[in-house]
Amino acid sequence: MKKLKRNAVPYLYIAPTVILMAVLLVLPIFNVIRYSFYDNAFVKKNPSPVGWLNYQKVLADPVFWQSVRETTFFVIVSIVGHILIALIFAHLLNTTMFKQRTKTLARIVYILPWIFTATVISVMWKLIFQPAGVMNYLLGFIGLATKNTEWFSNKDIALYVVTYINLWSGYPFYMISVLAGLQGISPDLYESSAIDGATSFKSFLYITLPQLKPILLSLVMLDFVWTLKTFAIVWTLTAGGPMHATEIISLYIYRTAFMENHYSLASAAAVFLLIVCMIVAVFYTRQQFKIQED
Amino acid sequence: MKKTMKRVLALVMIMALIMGVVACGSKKEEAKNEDITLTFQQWFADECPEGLFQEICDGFTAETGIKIELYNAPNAETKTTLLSGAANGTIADIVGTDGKWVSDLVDGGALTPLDDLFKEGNVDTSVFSDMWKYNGSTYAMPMVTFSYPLAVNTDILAEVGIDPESIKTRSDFLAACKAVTDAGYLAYGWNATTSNPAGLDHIFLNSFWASGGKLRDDAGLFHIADNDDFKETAVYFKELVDNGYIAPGYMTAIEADITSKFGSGDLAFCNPSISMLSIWASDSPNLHFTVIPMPVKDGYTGTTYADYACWGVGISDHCEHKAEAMKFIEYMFSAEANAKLAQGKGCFPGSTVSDPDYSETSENFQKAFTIWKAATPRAEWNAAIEASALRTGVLENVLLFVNGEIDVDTMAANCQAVCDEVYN
Repeated sequence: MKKLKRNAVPYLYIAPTVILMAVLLVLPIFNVIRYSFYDNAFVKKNPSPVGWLNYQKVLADPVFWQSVRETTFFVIVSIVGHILIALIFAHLLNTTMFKQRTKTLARIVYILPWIFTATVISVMWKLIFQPAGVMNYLLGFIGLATKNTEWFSNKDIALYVVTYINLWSGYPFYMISVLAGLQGISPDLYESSAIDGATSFKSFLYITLPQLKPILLSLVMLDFVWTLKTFAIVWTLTAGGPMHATEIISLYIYRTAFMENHYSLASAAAVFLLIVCMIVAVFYTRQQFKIQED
Repeated sequence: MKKTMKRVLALVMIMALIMGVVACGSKKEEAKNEDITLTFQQWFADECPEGLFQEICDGFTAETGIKIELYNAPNAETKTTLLSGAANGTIADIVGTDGKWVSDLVDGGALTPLDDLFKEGNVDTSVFSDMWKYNGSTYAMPMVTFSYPLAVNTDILAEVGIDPESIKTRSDFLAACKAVTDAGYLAYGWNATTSNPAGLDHIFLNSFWASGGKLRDDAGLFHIADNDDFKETAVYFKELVDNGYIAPGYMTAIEADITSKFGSGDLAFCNPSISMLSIWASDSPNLHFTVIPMPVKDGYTGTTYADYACWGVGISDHCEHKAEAMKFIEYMFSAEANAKLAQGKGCFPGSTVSDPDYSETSENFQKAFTIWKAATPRAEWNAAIEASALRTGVLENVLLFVNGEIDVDTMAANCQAVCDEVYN
């Protein structure tokens, strides 16, 4: 009995967390999966099971596939852009060519986008990109825009503009993470490569990148999941418009559920998103274990 | 004599006894009412001047003893709150609703049919300016309404030498837009974002309805494919777009974008909710504007219809005191309570017996009321099945047409298909 009590102690310690996670995480996920197999659950008084019908309907919806294409573009460009910008800016902040004061100032400026909330970012860029805004005024000097040039309302370019704003608002986290990684690389490695006559580019290719690889892999996977779930910025900028041109998957789910009241269809679409996120999460966890083993 | 006195005394005592019993009965009924608390889920209280809506509800409590507990949520969240409340049995007794939500709320078990309650409570239904019916039963009524007249910046119009009152037809309006655009101003604001298709109702269909257009027949079915009025309205809007008379950015603009542009004096025309008229009057003292009826198609002399938004009210299916809830609805449509709400909020009454005193309001508000009274209300999405999805589908096709991606017949056929998919 005593032994049993002693063995139970660790489980009692983690019990509050397990209960909280079960109620706040597992139960809602289970409910969403359950709704996806019902005939408009949540809206109908007595919903009935419909098997895979909601999944078939979602897969047959051309707007869903348009949304998948847009999400793919949005996620890939955001990840590549975030990592590239992070590498460049982190190198600038890590260089010995500038004084410490200059670097501190630059660090504050570079990190600013991360401090703003999604709403502030949206309002600011909406003002910049509105037809009578600063962007058209400046581009007007070189004949690239007029006061009637539309950015968010032009369905051919709206996704590019929204992706650019997402890049701008998200890079500081990745920059700080890469900077921390750069500062962890031993200067001895660079010194010995310099003695061996390696150029800066070769040092970057054969020292910096391999040393940063575990961090970069983790960042790519985190960015993938975070960008896939992006909602606030796009919703406040364009609400998915014009004509679904910026309706990434999270907005598709929101619109289907809360504006059209098709909660079961939205649940089915959300399950697809869950599966993709789960796959990436498995890779992320494996990567973390591998880093710990190394 | 003594005998007579005894008889009189006995009679008085019997009378006193009867009176006592009657009084006890009335007290008992009052005591019963005092035990009842009706909950009311709505977004109205937050949008009224502070305390106004609660004060109106308190008037009902003072009259009947029945307490009203207000559950407030923003308009955007109310529908979901009601549907989830109906699903898990926590829905309020009385329900604030938009006309466009009625079918969804009925299907979700959030609204109860009112016709039997009208009969049981001897309710005078002539006080309701409109009754929203779904599958033949009445489920809700608009308590107050908000119209969307055409607001005109009089400074801009004066600069281009046009009298706003002279704009009667679509041709007049196109000419005014041309003059305004030629003078370097933005002409007309259209919030055509599909994420909130209010711009379909309050601008596009407002123009369509003003000229007698009708989307649905008496059975509630949609007829768009061969609807010449609808096609004409679409062609008119394409002309506005093609000529640059619609302010840029309309494909993603929301109502606030348009009203703020008009408020800052950058826009010549827009269709604001009448609640904006008081806001501009107090917040934009340099803005000089007037309101006029929506221009109608050339040569049209028939009845003019006016689009409106509203705050509707119904009773939840889960309500345990439906008769008392009906009493509250009757009270809200009484002359005094309804007028107080309309005056306080700055909107129009939903009760036919209500006669609000707008003498303290701005000249433009009074003019908007005159325009409203001269027209017949029309908002055909009320109680339509899946109204939100239908409106989005119709607006998408209208936008495809005005952007030149499909022709007018394809647009009308697509809009019909959107409605048929839901109604078949």
